[in-house]
Amino acid sequence: MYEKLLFLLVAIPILLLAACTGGSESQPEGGNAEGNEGGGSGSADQTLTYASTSDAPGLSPIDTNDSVSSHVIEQVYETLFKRNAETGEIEPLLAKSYENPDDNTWVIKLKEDIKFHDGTPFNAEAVKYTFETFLDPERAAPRASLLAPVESIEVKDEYTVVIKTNKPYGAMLAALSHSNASIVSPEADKSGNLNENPVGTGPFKFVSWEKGNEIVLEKNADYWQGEPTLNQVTFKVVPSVSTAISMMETGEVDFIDGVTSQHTSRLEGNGSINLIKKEGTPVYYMGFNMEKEPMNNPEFRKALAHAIDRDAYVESLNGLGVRSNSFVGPQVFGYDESAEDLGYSYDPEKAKQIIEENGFGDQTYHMLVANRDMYINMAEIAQAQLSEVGINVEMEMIEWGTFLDMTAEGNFDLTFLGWSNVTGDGSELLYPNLHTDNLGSSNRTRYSNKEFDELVVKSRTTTDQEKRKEYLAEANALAIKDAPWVPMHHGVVTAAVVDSVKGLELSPTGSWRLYKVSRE
Amino acid sequence: MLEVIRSDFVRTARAKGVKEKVVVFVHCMRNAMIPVITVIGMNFGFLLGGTIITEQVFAINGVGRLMIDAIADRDFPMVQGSVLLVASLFVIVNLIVDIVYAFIDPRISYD
Amino acid sequence: MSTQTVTAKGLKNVEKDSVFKDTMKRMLKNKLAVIGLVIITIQILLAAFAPFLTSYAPDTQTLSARELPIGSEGHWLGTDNYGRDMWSRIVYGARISILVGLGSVALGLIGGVILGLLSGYYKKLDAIIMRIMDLLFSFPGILLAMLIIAILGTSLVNVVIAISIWSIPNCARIVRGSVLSAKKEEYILAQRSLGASDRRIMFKHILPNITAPIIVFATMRMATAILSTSALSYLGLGAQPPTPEWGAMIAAGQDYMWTSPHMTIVPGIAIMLVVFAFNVVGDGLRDALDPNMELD
Repeated sequence: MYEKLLFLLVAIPILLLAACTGGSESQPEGGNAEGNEGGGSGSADQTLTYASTSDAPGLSPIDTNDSVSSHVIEQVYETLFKRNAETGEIEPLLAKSYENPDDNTWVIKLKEDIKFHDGTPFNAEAVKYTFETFLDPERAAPRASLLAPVESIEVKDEYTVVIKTNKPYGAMLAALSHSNASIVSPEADKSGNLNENPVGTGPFKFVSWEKGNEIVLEKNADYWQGEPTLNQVTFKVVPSVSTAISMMETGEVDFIDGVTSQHTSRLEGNGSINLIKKEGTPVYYMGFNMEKEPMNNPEFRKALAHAIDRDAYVESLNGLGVRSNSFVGPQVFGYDESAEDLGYSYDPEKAKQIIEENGFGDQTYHMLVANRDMYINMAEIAQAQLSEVGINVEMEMIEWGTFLDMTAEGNFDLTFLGWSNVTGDGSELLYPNLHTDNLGSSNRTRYSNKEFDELVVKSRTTTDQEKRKEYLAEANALAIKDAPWVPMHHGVVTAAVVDSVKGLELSPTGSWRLYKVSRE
Repeated sequence: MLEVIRSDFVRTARAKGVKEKVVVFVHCMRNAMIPVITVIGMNFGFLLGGTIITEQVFAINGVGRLMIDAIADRDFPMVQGSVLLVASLFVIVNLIVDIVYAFIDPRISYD
Repeated sequence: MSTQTVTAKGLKNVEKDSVFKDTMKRMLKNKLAVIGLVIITIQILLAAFAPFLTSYAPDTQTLSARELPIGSEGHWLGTDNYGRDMWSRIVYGARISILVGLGSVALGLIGGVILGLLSGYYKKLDAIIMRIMDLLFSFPGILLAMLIIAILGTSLVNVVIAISIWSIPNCARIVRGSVLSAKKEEYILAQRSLGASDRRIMFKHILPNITAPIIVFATMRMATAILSTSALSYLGLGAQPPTPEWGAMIAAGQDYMWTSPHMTIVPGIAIMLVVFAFNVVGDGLRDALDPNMELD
């Protein structure tokens, strides 16, 4: 009797444990099996599996502001305008045409007979609803600043919208081509959660989302530009790039993007994988805290700019960076070649001299680094090069969220940052990052210069694109001379696809559309 | 096993004419299991520690990786939760090992 | 009287010498332990004379000479992704690993020996201390270290603290066991009858008689400490760049596994050799000091 009781005592926890582990194991396995089926049949018919290192926070253009989400959003939703990936020109997408009766008014004609995935017709009401929701303070859209100058949105007729701004807004078209300004189905937003269940007009429809594992889209057979070739697209979460590349080698993944320099030689060495590189809009820089001694001393900034061998640094990126002295990068609207002659080139002797004269080497500087591969790489190189000219730097590596808080508070001497500039417009770089208005928020280096501020404001309020370019180039030149940043490199956007994937369009902002992609 | 097979009760069993299969699987196995179970219990801890590294190396999404990310992000509730989970698992396994002892060898008892 | 003292002293010396010699003699018979001793000696020499053995500082970058393979001119172990000399980094890494090992084992011993002595000697304290130790035992080792680092923050010093805290319960348990048996010996009874204080008995009489298991524990623990430091640094919780810590070097080299495997393999071999050496020396010491002794 006693023995039996003991047996029960032992058996029950074992069974329970087995049940627990069994249960938790079978779920991901089931998920994998489905994924494999999709991938397996992918080589036979038109499916594509994309891998990213993290899961999307949400799928609503209104409520998100990150690249992982926008990759999915760009397949499901569409914007009124879009930037041509080749020419960089802004072209109408859901819009048919636009005109400016005056500087503060935008009359936009829309394409007709387009339907959202849920059957709701796309019309001026939908545009009005989207932008009003986007600007609604209660909704608190993270990118509401895109349309900040907009005062009202009016429906003139079924397919005409009139957008009025409170001051001339030069970057309006760039803002309207931003993926966060995509048009959403009003019905779907009112009745459900777009973040979980996105409904747009794009070439792909949302099917399912297994959080932390994969998002599945299928083709929208009624797409207004014609049916896409791909039947199904899977966005898979693979936490490590190395693993994702291994999965590409075994055929489980067809497409990755954001390849970093340490993986290029491996990808290039593989005959069945295509590495696509394209000069992009991001800029990466070392920033000084302009509110602290001696970082507010132009001599100090000049010395450090002379100390860093950026040619060697860019060379070490294996072709994944572009060397430029300009803040506004070569692929960004507002760039002018004359900027290359400005700035401070590598000259360690001069750096040493300035540092000795001013006694800058007497203290240790606090370098705040976000724990992401690219910034750690920059910081390690800069630290070694600065120590050669007699500047001692203590590196502190912290997690991204904390990093953003600390830099916004100005809790650093030196730091490394980047700005990916999704609109590809110089105003969208200089205004948030260097204008006095944004001190304490996105102006993390705390640069403030009246003359510069005026030029940037002019570039934002002028609608004449030629004039805007001039203002931007001038503001850029001014900032380069003041050197609140040492531009480390300008980004090269990358994607790696297996050979059978054809027709992928990569834009300089790093975004891509799968509409024209096919498998061979 | 070598120790057990040389013991008196095995000789007795053989002398009784019990089949070799029965001797090995009934008489010996029970007694030989005790050190094996001890090792299983002790190594389970090492294995749990090892999974943390393995998950990192092969980028498997497990509790260990969850915990490392939580530490890097200074997300303390998550760290506490995952530590609690792994530690309770470890304690439960050790408890089971202790109970299995008594089950296999009734001479072992706890007062 | 005086002659007696002299002979007692003489006897003591003779005994001390012979114990040491005896141990060494028995150690040298064990081939594996000798290999281990040689590896440890090499590591200590590397650590001590690091600046004389290398021609580059461990964090000097040469961006034009990145990822050179093993056997390159001027860099016989090649260079890493920043063009830093691998040989320099390995040698300076030896310094870090030995210092971290010694530091964490020493701290762990201090805590473990005191707690072990107290709980072995005083029955009342025993229950309390051992329950606290059980609490620490309920975490798998590396998990406990990670938890401590999560609280203290990531740095090499905190790794030392974390590993020493993790060593305390193991050490305390071994010391307590030895104290319990040593307490029953007659010489302790004799001391007590002479009116010696508890503290005197514990530190002057019991402690010297239980050094053997402590030395063995410390040697074995060195291996665990070095391995755990590397593991934690690999996970990004220990040494921060550009510190040439072996585990951190493996983590940095991982992305370059396909193009420059030496970046991971070389520090990997270094860790393996050193951990192996401390383990076999610990085994050898255990056999040499007391063949009947058992450690858990």
